This record gives sequence, structure tokens and C-alpha cells, in this order.
Amino acid sequence: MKHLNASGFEEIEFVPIIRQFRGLGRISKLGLRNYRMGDLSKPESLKSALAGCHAAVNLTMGDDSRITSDVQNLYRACQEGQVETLVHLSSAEVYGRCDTPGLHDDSPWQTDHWMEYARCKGQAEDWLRNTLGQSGPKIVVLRPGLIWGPRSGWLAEPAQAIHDGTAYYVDGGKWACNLCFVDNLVRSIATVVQTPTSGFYNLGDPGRPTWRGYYQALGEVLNRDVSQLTDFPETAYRPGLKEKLSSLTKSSLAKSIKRRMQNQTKTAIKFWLTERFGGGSLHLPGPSLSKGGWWLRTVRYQLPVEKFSKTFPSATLQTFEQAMASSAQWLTFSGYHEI
Amino acid sequence: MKPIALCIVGCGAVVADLHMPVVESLQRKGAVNVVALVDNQKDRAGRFARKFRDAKVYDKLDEAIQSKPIGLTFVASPPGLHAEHVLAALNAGSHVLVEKPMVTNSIDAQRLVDASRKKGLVTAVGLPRRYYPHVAEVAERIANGDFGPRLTFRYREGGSFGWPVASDAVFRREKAGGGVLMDKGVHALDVLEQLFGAVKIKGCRDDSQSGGVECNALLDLEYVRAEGQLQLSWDQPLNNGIWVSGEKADAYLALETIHTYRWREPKGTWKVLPAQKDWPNSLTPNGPRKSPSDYYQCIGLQWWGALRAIALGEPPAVDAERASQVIRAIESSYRQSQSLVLPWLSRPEQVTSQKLHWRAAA
Repeated sequence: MKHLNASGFEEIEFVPIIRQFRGLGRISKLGLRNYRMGDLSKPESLKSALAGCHAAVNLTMGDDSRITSDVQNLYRACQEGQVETLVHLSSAEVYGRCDTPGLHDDSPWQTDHWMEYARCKGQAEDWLRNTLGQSGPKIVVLRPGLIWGPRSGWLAEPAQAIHDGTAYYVDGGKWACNLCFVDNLVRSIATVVQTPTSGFYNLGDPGRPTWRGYYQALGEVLNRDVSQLTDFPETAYRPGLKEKLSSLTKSSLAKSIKRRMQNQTKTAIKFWLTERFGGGSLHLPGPSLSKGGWWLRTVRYQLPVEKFSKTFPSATLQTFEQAMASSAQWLTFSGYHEI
Repeated sequence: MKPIALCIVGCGAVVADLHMPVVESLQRKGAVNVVALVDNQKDRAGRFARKFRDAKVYDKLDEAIQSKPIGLTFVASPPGLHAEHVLAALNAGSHVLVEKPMVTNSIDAQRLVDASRKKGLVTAVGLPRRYYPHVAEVAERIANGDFGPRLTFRYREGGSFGWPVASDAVFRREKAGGGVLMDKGVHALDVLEQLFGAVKIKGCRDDSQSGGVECNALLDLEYVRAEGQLQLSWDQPLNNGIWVSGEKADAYLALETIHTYRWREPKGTWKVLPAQKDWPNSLTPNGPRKSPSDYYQCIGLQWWGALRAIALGEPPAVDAERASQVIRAIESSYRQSQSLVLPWLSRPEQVTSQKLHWRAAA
């Protein structure tokens, strides 16, 4: 919010809507003047939350299985509250590894994707696509790739991995790294709010690199040699015990049990497990190929982003090089330059 | 030994998520007997009542105090109410274990120190990182001179605020006393006190605007033998950990892995060393001890420490006097605070941030 207010978007007044008070933690420096409570799973809470707003931007995260019902509730609340524009954040992940050349912004998503998150995002897109043209708010769906930049996981985590010695390439890092700089995402959202045109749009940085290009740029900023990182062949991925267990805990049954379990019970289980199995390794960590890491590092093609720039020519987006320059400042501020 | 009659004040997320498994375990072992649960939302206290045969639910501490004798009061109410609740308990003759921050200002801190001293009662403060084995071990190595005579350090702790708080009080300066510095900063300054001794605040920068509380803070700190920076965040990841450097060695202490630390001698490579410092794990004078491997176990040892202070007269890991030093350091930081420069922002954005800084506006 502060960024936008100081960057030429003063005419937009932002109203944060939070589901839980802890959501205020990240904006509490601004003061608690105008926040509202609202929960997309509780339609009755949305009327007052959206009152007087011209646009609603859905940035919610959480339970994947609720993505579609949440966006349906938000759409209906916008309709009833005469909110003119609904901006929904989907994800480039709906296209998986982008195996097919020629994918465009309106191509069908990958319905057999292994990630529940991607399938649920895709299903929400389907519902919104079928709703387009009805008498309701304009619908803008944005599909950013890996969001990176100051404060973002896709900058901090690779930097931490380089720092810790756990960073790695797959296939020499030759595949596409579909990055979307966080400021570009914010500018894109602000632009579509100001000049909404319904549709589905991929978002990505001009001049996106390969994974090797991304790590090399990070290595230069962090003053670390990344040319000799462990290089896994694409065929190297095999699910380990940890991932097999993790897939069990992500099953619908496990999730359903977890949802019904009180926090206190979850804590008691954690307490019991650490009492009995607490312990630690005396070895420095090394690279370990996870399914998500392998998957993202073998994305075949960059998603095209020209539709967005043609539809919204006023959105001035930073190139990868410009974005890396400000990211470098953040990495230093956050201590990632230190060994 | 007869179990200590325990009253719990404030039955929110901290108690549910961190303390209740420990309290239940202490009750089973006969160390405590929970007799009172106090919360202004009685249903929150009520959810725990069925676990304890003798526990009654109250919406005010005064009612609990008047109803039955209490040996130990655990104060886990919102920080702005700590002083009132601790003083009420001490005045009723109860020892106290109070969650951090002990209080939100130095005047209240001194009142608690005085009351505790006058009544001859224990006021232990909940700062479980005192039981981190790697911190205790590195503190000993610093004292032994293993790093050399002069030290530098960096302490960073960042990440998204995640506590399931029940209201927005923790984000209001008038109620919470501050932001990330009053939250994570209390732990961090206490750990640094354990490592280096008494602190002098040389500078403080934070990002709070008028009407808000800081999400980020950067402190320049000086100790008798050390100097360095403490950086804290509620809204972004940082390269977390504690780095201590001297002419003879460097050490790195992760914040999550507490039973090992990294050690490096000049021109050497990092080695991972075990940290095996242990603490009493019962009320028996020379009974079993435990070296904790995670935060929950540290909470358990903190409870044993408070109970041993009451039963055996041992000093608690952190008493009101020691906790007061941290509160005074935070107050000093706020008095000196200037706008934190966020270097990745554009110049106009930085100028706007400076203009809106809470000290500038004041």
C-alpha cells in the first residue's frame, strides 16, 4: 500500500480486508485506520467489508479446496455491492510445466496437474470464465509466475539456499524460470483497477531468464560462485520418505482430520513427537531434490505475456535486470550477503 | 510435596498453543494443581476447565484471588494488563510467572520489582530462550575467551507475524507498548544480555508511521566487550540467526535448531558442534536434568525453573529485575528512534516514509 501511494497511484485508496487479526501484523506500521474484517467463506461478512469499494482484489491464500467457493462468494458480494471490478489472482502454475509450445492466455489449463493448488486455481478460472459477460463486475484474472523481489519467498529462499549450500540446478538450469517481479505485479494490479478490461492475463517480467541465469544473477549480487552448484539430471527425482509422508498428510482425509483438530491437540501432538524424536544432525546441509523444486526447474517454455502489455499499455514494468538491482538492495538489507 | 495451587490468567492462543501441554504434564506429575482459570471471555477459560478437577472459571482475577489460596499465578493476559495482574497476584501473596513482555514500560517494571522484593515473592518472567542450549554454551565460550577479547555480532529475526491473536490490541502502541521490538525484541535483547551482559542502545531505526507500530526495527548495540546490530521484522524474511565473531573464532547460532551451532576458526571451515547444556527437569534437588531440543521443551524447563524458585529458593532464569533491563532498553530505543531507510525503495518512497515516521510526526 505504501509503495503504491508513493509511486503515482495516489488516486487509489486502499482498504485492507483481513480474515483474522494476525493479518494486521504486516501492515501495522501504517496504523490501523481503515482495515475491515471479512472472510470469503462467510458471505454475510463481505457486504460491509466491500461497502463503497469500486474494485475488489482477491489476494487470499489458504485452503486450496476453498479457492473456487471463495471466489464465487466474492463475485456474488461484488454483484450485490455494485463493486465494478473483481481482480482475481490465479497462477501460472495452472499450465504446469508449460510442455506445449504456443500456449496463450486463453489456452485450457492442465486439468491433470499433480498439485491440488493448481487444479483448484484452474477450477476457479473455469467458473469465472463461464461467468464472464453476466451482469456483474468486470472480471480480470491475473496469472503471475513465481513472485520474487524484496520481501518475497522466491528471492529470499534461493538466496538462503545459495547461502546455506543447498542450492542446485536441474539439467544445468537450462529451463525457463517464469518470474514475476513483485513490483510488476503490484503495478499490474493497480493498472487493471484503474482501467479494467475483463479477461485472463499471464504476468511475467520482460526478459525472464533461465534458472541458471537467475542463479547467476543472484550469485553476482551475493558475491558467491554458483557455477559449480550440484546439477541433478531431470530423471534424478525420486520421492523420499519425507515426501511420501508429506503426501499422506496432504491427502483429503488427513486435511479433513487436521481441520477438525483443535490447535491445542495439534500442539500436544507436536509436543509429544519432539519429546520422543527430537534430535539433530551434526552435518552441514546439502542439496536435496524435492518434487516441487524438480517440477519448477523443468518448466519448458516461458508463458507469453504480450496480451497483458497490449491490453494495458500504460503499465510500465521493470525488466529482470532492473528488478534484480532493487532486489540486490533488499538482499543486503536482509543480511543475505553475509556468510 | 503438596502440589502448588495454580491460577492461569488469560486463556488465549499463547496458553493453548504453548503452555497447556506443559501444565497438563505438571498436573499429572503432581507438581501443580490448577485451581483457577481467568479470562474475560469465560468460554475461553471454560475449554480448559474440564482438564483439571479442581479448576474454577472466573472472568476477573480478583474473584479468583478472593475465592481460594493460590500459590502461583501464571499471567498470560494481553501485555497491557500484565502490571495490573502481576501486582494483584503479588499483593494476594501469590508467586508469579508472567509471559513476556513482563510489562510495557519501565515505570510498571519498577513497580513489579519493588512489589516482588517487598513481599518476598518470586516473579519469574517467561523468556524460554534462556534454555536454548546453544546460546548457553556460546555464552560460556564467550566468557572463557574462546572468541578473543573483542566481539562483533549480528542478530536477525524476520518472518510474517503469525500468532492467532484475538484482537488488534497487539498492534496498538497504547496497548502493546510497541511492535516487533516489544514482541520479538524482548526475546532477542534477553538472549544478547545472556551472551554479552548489560546493553547500551547506540541507535534505533524503525518503520512505524504515525498511529502505527513498527514492523521492522534495526538497533545498534554496544556491550562491554561487544558491539553489533539487532534486526527484527514482522513482515519479511531475513537471513535469520546470530553471528558472533572474534579474532579467535566465529559462531553461527540458528534460531530454530537450538541443540547445535556452527563454529569456525580463522581460515577454517564451518563445523557443526553439539550443544548439550542441561537444566533441572523436576522438583528434586539433585534430580534429572534435560537438554532441550525445541521450544516446547524450553517452555517445560521454564516452568520447572519457576517452580524450583518457589519450592527450593533457586533464582529463576529471568526475574523481574532482569526483565526490567530489557524494558528499559526498548524504551531507550524508542526515544532515539529514527526512520528506517529501506534502500530498495525509490527515493520518493523513502522521502514519504521519513515524513510519515511516528517520531517525525510527534
